[in-house]
Amino acid sequence: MIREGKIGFAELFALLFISNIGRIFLTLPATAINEGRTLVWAMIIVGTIGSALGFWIVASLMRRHSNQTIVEVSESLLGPYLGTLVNLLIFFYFVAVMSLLSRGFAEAILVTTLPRTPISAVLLFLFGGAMLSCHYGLETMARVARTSLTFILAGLVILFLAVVETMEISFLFPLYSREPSYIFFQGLTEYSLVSEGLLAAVIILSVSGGWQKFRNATMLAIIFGGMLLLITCMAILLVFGVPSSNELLIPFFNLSRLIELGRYFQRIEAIFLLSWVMVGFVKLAVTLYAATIVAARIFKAPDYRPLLWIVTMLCAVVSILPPDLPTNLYLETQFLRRYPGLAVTVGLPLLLLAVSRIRKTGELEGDDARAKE
Amino acid sequence: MMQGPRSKYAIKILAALLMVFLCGGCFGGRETDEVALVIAVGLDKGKKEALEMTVVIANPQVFAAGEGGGGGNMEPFFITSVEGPTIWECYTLMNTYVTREISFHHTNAYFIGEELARDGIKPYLLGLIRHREVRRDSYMYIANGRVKDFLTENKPILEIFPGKVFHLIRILSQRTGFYSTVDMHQFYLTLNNLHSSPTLPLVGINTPEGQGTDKDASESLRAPYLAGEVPREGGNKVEFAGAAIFNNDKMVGRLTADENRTMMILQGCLTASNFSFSDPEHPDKMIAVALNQAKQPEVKFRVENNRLIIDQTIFLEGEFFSIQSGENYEDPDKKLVAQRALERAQESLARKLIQKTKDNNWGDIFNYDTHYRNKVSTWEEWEKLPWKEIYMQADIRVKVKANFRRTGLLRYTEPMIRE
Repeated sequence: MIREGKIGFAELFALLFISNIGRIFLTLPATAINEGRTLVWAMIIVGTIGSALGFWIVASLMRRHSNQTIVEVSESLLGPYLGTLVNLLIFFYFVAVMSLLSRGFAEAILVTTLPRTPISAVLLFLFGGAMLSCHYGLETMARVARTSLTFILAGLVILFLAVVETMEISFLFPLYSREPSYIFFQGLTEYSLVSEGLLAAVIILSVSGGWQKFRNATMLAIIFGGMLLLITCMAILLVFGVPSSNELLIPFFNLSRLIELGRYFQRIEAIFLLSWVMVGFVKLAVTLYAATIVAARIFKAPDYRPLLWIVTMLCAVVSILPPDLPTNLYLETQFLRRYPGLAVTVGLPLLLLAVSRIRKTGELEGDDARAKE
Repeated sequence: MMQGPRSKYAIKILAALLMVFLCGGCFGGRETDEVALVIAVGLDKGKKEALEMTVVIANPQVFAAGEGGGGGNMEPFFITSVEGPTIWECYTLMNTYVTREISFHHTNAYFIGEELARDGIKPYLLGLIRHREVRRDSYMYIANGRVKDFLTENKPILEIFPGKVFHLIRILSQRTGFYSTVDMHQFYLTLNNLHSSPTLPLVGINTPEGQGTDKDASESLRAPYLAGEVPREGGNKVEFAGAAIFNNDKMVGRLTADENRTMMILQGCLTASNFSFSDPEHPDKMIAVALNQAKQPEVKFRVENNRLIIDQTIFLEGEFFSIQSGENYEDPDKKLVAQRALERAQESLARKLIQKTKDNNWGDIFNYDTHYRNKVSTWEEWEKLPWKEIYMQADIRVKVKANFRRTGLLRYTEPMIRE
């Protein structure tokens, strides 16, 4: 059995919340405003409700199978061959998230602050940090996340308050900028995808307090993460307007560059870069951890650490495959955030839940577990 | 895999070694004595190439002189120009002779020559906002004539550091209203997001021949000068006054200092200014008041006979600075007379300015479309809105409401005993 340590409610929430908000620091808010225009707020709300419903499927599945992660659940429900295939899909999904995200973060660092640093050096730094965190284990990552959360939130609150004076309320109009059906469809298909539900199902055995703590912490992380995305999109929309927001590569960075608090507090985006880096490292570390632990569980290895090098190497190789930044963005938006991503994060748990219900497996153990609680 | 204390020891050694490399700085790291900090950038139309770029570079040795360095009588900055097809080609060419790598990280003012501005500035603006060194909160100005001459003639008297000049001049805009401060972000936002016409503040060189001594400034609330025309002697030769009007990205006209103040009032962005107007009961005497905008203007739209009517109400408040006649305008009833005189004078200036924008086909320079946006139902309607046409045909009615709330340090002017 793999020893992963134990984390509590607050640590799980912090870990998943930080993992969830990694998306606000990259191009996603700009693409969201491009899709939703002045109705971006409605699209994000629909997306967040979609994320919560998606997680509900995962939570319902995990409720029926206590003392198992989603990897063991799929094997027990679908058998060793089909189950392994499903688990491989989950593994490759986390590898793809890790690869595209690390490349995105590395490119963002190059564009904003380190233009002359080779991307390989930045990637090495990111993967090195993620690998070291994974080596120390989930408990360490979760505690780092719990400690960082206060600073990250403080940085974000200061940033949003500091840009209030540059906001133009008229940029909220005209209100009817997209068909409601379009907003609903885009919100559900492009902005409901979060990997945190699946991630939580992979690390569920480490959560002290059982299924209920797992469900509550993950649901809260998804909802608060969605709210933060909503606030970020609104701030960017009100400061840059729809056409100018569409143009931005890293709108959050542009937002932080506009802060001017009197004569002496100018050019303080470096402070906000700290929040950005903290979130980036936690997100990458936890995603690499998820990929590695899924691989370890597929191979029924007694420890995930021997696989860490191999999985990191795989992610690093995949991350340098896209020839340029636009291709990386294209892959992220068209594959990771759309149907292929949804098929893994929502489709597979739905399939497993359906099989579980049809076969009526897990009901007894789930009931027993709840009776014990 | 290694386990136990030896493995931990190895990790610690590796981490310590990694820190040595990380603390050494990143690949792109530049020491402060390797960069030439550009304080201001000027763009003119080139003689041979498309562009002539002039930069003001700070001389750090002057500041080191104060701390026992060797600055001596060195100039605090130097100016250099180069021609090239793009800003970044000029930037590269400058690096062939400046010895230190030039950097726009601390540039807080971008000046554009009138000739280049009349040809259109979007190609250069797009080149600036894409670059990581350029900050969108840097301020933009249009020079009457060539920027190169303006930057060369700029000899600040009270400041050693030229960057501080451009910073302080921004603050002064909020005390006068005779020129506005528009940063790259605001200008690009208006260009990209709105139908109204963007404006930029004007700068110019004051020469005895160019001064507007023939202009009539005796009329209430008037300061009919462009940058370079203020009748004065002494001081720095360069000055900031008025505004340049743009249609899309091309400069099409100019506003004088008082017209700029009126524009700012109608836009709702005047912080404070001193206003001098004729005493209604003693036309040969003047009253001076300090006013600011009490709240944002109210803008209402209605349609009458297929014509858009824009009703705008301006709210000004402030205090008396001077009552030359000694009339008792501090009295609440008499105060209304003075207030009404200012209101009528400001309304008249607003009407004239609105008419001027229509006569010159400049379009809306007051950003009325930001107020109109919520009247538009759909995005497509907003994108296709013929705002300039609507504005040109609109009946714009401006009403000014002033309140002189305070009387300065005198509560009453006692008639002199000899009167």
